[in-house]
Amino acid sequence: MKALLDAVDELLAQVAADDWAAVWDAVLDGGWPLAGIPEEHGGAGGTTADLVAIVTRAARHRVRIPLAETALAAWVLARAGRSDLLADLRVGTVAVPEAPVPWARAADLIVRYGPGGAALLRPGEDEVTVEEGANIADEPRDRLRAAAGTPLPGAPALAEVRVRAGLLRAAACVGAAEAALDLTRRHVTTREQFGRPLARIPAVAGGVAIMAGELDQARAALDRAARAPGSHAAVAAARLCAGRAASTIARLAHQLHGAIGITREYDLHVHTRRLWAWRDEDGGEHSWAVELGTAAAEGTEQRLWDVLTGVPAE
Amino acid sequence: MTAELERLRRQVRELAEEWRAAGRYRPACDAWLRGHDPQFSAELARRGWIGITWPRELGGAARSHTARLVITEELLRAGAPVAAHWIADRQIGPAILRYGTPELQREFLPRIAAGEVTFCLGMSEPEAGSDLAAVRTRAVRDGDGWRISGRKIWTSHAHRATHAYVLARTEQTERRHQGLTEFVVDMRAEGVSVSPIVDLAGEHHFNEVVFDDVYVPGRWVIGTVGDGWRQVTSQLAYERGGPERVLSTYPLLAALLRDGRRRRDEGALAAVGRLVARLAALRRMCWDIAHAMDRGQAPVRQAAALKYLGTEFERDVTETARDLVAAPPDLHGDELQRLLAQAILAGPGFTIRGGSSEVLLSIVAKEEVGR
Repeated sequence: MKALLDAVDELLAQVAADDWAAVWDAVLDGGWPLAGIPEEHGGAGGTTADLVAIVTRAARHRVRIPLAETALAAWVLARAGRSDLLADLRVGTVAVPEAPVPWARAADLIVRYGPGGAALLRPGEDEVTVEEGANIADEPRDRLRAAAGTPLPGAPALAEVRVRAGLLRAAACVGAAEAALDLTRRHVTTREQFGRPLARIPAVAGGVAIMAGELDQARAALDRAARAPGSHAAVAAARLCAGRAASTIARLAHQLHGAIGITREYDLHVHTRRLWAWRDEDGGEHSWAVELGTAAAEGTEQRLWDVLTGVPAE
Repeated sequence: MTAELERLRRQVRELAEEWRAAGRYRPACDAWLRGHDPQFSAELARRGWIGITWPRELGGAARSHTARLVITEELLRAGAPVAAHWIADRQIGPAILRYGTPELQREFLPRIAAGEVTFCLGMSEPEAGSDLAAVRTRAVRDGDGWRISGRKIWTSHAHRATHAYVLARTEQTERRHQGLTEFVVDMRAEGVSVSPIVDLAGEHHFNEVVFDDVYVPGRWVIGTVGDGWRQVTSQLAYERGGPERVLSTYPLLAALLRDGRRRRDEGALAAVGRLVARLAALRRMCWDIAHAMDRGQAPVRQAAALKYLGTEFERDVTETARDLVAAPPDLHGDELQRLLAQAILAGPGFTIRGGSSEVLLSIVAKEEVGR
């Protein structure tokens, strides 16, 4: 796995934010979006935890790529028994009701969930109109107008897709938070004021420590969820801890950077704008919190405890 | 392995429930510090649940730290009175196992595991709180043994423990992290005097302990004379990395979930959901730390982060409970009011004892950005 993650760094570090097309063939060659799907189902093998690690690592880089989106679409197809579509899949995305569709403009395959269930849309073949939009991180968040498409029987339920999307979103949040912490660490150890590095000011060092602690907590929750990827409760916890880390880390990263962090020229905004966008995508933090709280409140304390203390899979 | 842990968990749960149902304790917040019941500790010892990670020939069961986590978290969840054996089981036994001579190990570990020997922690002093290297308590050689003089403070249950762990200076050097030594001291020895310090809740667990020329046999030195600083810092993962840094207010959260009066609107559910999410992550961090210990590591940095985050969580449980229940804290009220009152009154200690949050953050910061 380490070799693969090193390859992620090596490939993605070279390109600018908008230059995803330059690396996408290599991403597909590497089989990244197909990680966690068994080879006999047309995937690249490995576990969901491997996919989570790849998405986390990729999210540390400047370039925006439709990795989580394509991985989600591929997972839906594999679950629906349509592994025949995976070999030629380039960019996939999943459209859920009442939310913009990430990367629809670039997709050659869209799984759309509607009142009648899941359907396949092929923008090349089906009549699909894309109205382009963006989130506050300048990532494609489009609107679709399309005919019904081809029904996709056997697709996982929308609720399952939401859980999978939430897991990958949490993974991406952790990656972006790592990148924001890295930049902050570098800044406070090299930038000098009052004749010494900023990190020598105790309040500054304490701020970095708070960021690192939040990241520890988010990573622990993500790690737990990656090993129980179908568990709504585990993913909700990961999503909420990632959202909390996103808020705290973005706030402190900016505070500790001072004015330089607010410029478009310096890279911090690449990561912090994503944190601000992602923490409320794929089901906002509030709805995940309500769902998890409802489950805890409706069940017994015993059940909550059993869920919390379940032995993690290795 | 998993099945074995689940069986252990069930057994601990059943014992805690049996004692609670029989009225032998009332679930309480912060019971690992405040709930002192030698009988309950003796019962745990009888079942082999004290010192469970230690070798069999030293009274243990050679089980993993994850098995110990199963025991401790179930007891904390129940709010059971575990303070009597907690310090010896958590950190002094392991310190003796790690650094003590085979003779010292044979002398103490089986008796700790049997619940006969209990320890209090002689670290802090009036002039050495967070800055532990500033200890002034001195030990000077006397024949084969030592004579200890000095004052220790905030020593919980010194009035009940059979023995004390004492960090003392054995050499005056320029470098303050050198010349410290760890000792076992008999609390009944001549020259030991204990005076109570009542806490803000009106409870007596804290003490001041004065050592006036107390004789300690040479065999009761833990590890190497003069190497106490290095040794004591390796205790920190044990002291800070356990579930008691997360679950001190769990009995309140459990009662809150059971209580019919709590708010059930969306905001209330979201607040509970956010707590549950953090608890899941923190519990996983405890598990990871126990796992690291099983691999022979001393995850000091992770334990510092856990304690910082866990004690913030403990306090947020209290604040959330206040918000969700329309009943004022009352030590003589119903269960929820009583637990809420306990949590509020114990709260200031969470982020101070065992390393204040400021010290913990500085440890994490040192790893992150150097010094």
